[in-house]
Amino acid sequence: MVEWDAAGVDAFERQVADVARRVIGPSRPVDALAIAQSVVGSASPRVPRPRVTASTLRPWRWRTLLTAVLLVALALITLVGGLLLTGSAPTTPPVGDDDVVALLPVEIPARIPHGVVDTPIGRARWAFLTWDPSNLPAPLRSMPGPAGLLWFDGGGQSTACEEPGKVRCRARPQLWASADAISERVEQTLPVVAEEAMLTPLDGTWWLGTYRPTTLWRSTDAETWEPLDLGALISPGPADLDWEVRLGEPATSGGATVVPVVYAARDGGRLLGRPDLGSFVRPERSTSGTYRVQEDTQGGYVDVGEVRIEETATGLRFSDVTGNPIATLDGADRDLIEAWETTGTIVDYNVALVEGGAVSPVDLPGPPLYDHSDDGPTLFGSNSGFHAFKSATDGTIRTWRSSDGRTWTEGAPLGDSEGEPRDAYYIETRPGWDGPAAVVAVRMDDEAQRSVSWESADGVSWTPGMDLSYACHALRIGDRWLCSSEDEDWSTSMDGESWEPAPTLSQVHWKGHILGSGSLGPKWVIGTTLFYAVHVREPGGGTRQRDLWVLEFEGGET
Amino acid sequence: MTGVVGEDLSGVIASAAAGDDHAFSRIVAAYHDDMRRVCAFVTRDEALAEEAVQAAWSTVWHKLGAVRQPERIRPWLVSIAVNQARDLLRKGRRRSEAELLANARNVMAGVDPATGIDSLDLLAAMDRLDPEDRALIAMRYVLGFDATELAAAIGLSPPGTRARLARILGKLREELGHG
Repeated sequence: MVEWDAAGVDAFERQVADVARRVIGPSRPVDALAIAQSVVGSASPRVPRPRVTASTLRPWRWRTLLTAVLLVALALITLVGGLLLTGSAPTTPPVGDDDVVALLPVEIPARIPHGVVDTPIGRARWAFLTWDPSNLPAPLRSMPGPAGLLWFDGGGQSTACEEPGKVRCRARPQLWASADAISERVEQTLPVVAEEAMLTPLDGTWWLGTYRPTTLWRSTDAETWEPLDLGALISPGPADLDWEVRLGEPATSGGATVVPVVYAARDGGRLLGRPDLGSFVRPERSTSGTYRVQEDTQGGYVDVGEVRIEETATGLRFSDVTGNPIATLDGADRDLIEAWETTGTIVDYNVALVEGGAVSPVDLPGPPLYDHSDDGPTLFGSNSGFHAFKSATDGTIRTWRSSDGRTWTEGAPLGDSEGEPRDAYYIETRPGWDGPAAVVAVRMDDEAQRSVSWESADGVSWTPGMDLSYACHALRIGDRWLCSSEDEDWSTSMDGESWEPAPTLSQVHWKGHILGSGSLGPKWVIGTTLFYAVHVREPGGGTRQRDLWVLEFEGGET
Repeated sequence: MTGVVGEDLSGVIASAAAGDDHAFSRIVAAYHDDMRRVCAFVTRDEALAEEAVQAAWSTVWHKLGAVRQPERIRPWLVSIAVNQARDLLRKGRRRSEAELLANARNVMAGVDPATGIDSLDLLAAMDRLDPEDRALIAMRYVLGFDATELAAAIGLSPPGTRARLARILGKLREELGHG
């Protein structure tokens, strides 16, 4: 066995290594022949497994070619008709932010590092904005606004703060507006003070969803907000529980808007005889058939009691070990308990349709959605209607479709067949070539053993992408294309079909990165301008997006 | 490096792929314990770890013929075992936090003078990491994988792997207040 080389490792890493080794314990002798014979003896005949092919893989998935060797390797793969074959060129730009063109002013103040860089898709001006509370307050995430840019921070993150007696504070949701990428921002008043919020622009309307309190607002100018009535949002789960509502990212199709809704019970402790614990408790089945009551101390689960849980004709009955009743819960079954045990929470889900000034809950058909996560369904609006996706405990992905957001039908789950995603870490939507693309990130269990993203433009046909680390996260720059990988290798394309490395971009970026001395953050494009946030380490620990690299390409119409 | 010492690794793999169970047993002998140790850290359950590795060997037996880079076999094997362990955990077969801590008999409570962190607190923080992150910790700090091996095991590039490891350590540091 290789001994770990401690050179260049700090005390914290040494302690991590020490603790990990201690908890695992020493090496053990292995009866290798017995294991091998056991495996060989019980194995079915080897049958070549069909490979997942990607005949419709889009060319931009090729773009992050780290080295010439990889280029050659991929070319060879293509030549032999292997895993990845190129498809047709994109014909329609992704859903874009096409109203804003020039986001860097002609004159950039000398105090802001800036310059010009030549790239294969043309010359670009760049500026690196180092955080300064007077001219560049957080947040850094921008989106087109009615008169320039909007900058939104959803809050919720723990960050260093200057409040007396506090080291860490939770950031509150904030919205700012500015005329361009570097001008002073003006804070916009949000209609409600909340712990967290989500701002989603959809077809000329900004949707603001907040958490604690749960509210939903819409606006056509990001200044005047119309509240939506959420009074009809009632959990599809057992009515006797005290449900807290949380909204997800809305989606729009055909003029209709649908919002995913997550319901989490606040009073699970009541069922287990510990109402004081609220939602910070779960049952865990014991070997004797009873359930241990476990308090979630936020530092781990601690055993605090024991209960019996029995199914009745109408639901569940909870009692102590001597048989004294504690509570009943109508409309629930063992699935709820198993999900509660697994996730530590009681959650349920549905979606809600915006109708006039209110939202109406719409149940997704089929069995309850209890599963191993507390993420709600992911909604995806396509030209043909809505799609909803939700991971199931067996690794498949449940699917639903609706043409109007009101009537939903459950489709076959994804992941039961080759050529479909499963075991999703997360499901999200993002701009694709032909409009929004639903993206599922998975870890494939075949010989590739790699994280792979899957994409779909219609919610039905899925295309496996490349290894996420090599995947091109394509950004449309006007009528040209730009990609960067996790390794920060940049490529450009004039047609979306043929790509070439753009090393000058890496050089400029790394200049900026050195100035920022932080780690990498998200990047996004508005018109012909690329925004690239840089995470900066804070004195009190943690990181925060506080620097911003802005790169504006010349020419090209959006 | 752990391996099939003194033998042509490609030849051993080819023999095993051709059905030679003795050749297969040499591979098992060389790598089984590495796989078990990582899975033990991922699952914090010895029985589950053994089950994961046993299942992994079945997978390996069927896929040995697809091995194209014999020098990468160690991270490949470990990653298959980790996937099996992750699947077992996902099926709900995980231990409670209390059980995990009770099983930490090899970890002595006490503050490391160099970091000011109690080892049990650190262990509890590592237990709260995702299984994939725990696997990365074990591969790096127990098996001594370098960035290239880690990259092969988890399907990221070496720089991406380093970045991910740094994020995991940063998360632990932040949780433990180690600036």
